[in-house]
Amino acid sequence: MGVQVEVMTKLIAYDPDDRVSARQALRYAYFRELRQAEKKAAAQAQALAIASSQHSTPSATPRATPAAAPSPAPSATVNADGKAVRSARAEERDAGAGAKAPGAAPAAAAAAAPAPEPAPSAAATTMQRRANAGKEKDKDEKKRGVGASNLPNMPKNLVRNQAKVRLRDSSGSS
Amino acid sequence: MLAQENILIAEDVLKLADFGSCRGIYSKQPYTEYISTRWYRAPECLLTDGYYNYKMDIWGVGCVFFEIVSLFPLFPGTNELDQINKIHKILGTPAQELLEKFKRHSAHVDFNFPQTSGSGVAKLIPHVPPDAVRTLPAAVLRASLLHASCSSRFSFIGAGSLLLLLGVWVCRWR
Repeated sequence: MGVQVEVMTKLIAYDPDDRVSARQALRYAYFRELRQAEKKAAAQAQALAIASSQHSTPSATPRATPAAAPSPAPSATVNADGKAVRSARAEERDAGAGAKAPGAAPAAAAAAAPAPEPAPSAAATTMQRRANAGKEKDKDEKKRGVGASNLPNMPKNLVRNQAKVRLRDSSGSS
Repeated sequence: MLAQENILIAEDVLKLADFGSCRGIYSKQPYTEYISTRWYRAPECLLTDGYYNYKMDIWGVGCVFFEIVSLFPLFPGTNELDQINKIHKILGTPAQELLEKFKRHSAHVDFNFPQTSGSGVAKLIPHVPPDAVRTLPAAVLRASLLHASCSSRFSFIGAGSLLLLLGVWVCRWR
């Protein structure tokens, strides 16, 4: 209770110069649990990715038991990121397999390097890896919350995806 | 602007909407004074002729946060003067120097405010079950702050739709 009042008081300081900035406020103890939950979720996604890239069965790798969804936001990132990471790693793995054994190469490697020469396919693999790195960067930005990068798209999505419920009219809108 | 009707929640996703009064980061002060829903308008915005900065959004975040926790608006002013009086009633009339600071950028406000010491925010927050304290309000606040901390391309972008959010919250915990 005390932590909550503290955060609130800092946010509504009369003097804007005394008012806490968003960056400072995010470091408050009030968010400790959320921060930890998010970290845990990220670690789980990582473990999932490693497990799938090593061709091992999920049960073989020791993993932390899933958190009982302490807050809505982090649990959402687990699912989305878990899938995203897995597919990215799977692609990389396929491309790598293509470089070693062209006969068993799936469609992805075949498309990247039609002739099974070692040099071009290796180049393709590194390119793929770079592309994956880019993907993961994007994902990290998304994980930070409502990223600045996709701001202009948001209102459109919102209109499409969810009904805007007005329970009460607020006074004098802008 | 940062007000209730622009925070949208669907299942595990929280989005901020309505960028109707965003501005480019390179535009110069003074800015438009008639901005933001009145209840969430910061004192510097109410008292000066457009001399405010990104801290104004933090005020709005604080007001919305209070409303999520307590289920009633913190400063429900019926007009601009009533708005500033409601703020003083809770936070107290600010020190003369601070008022002087605002006065330098103001031509339209009569700065003779009655002296009040303010009731404080803590008393207004009812007892909330501990779980509710820790999860949704914290998640919403964190999302808003993350948004405010990374919205470098545009400033003064609103969050909102606490109304919808309040509805969700009430459904989950009451």
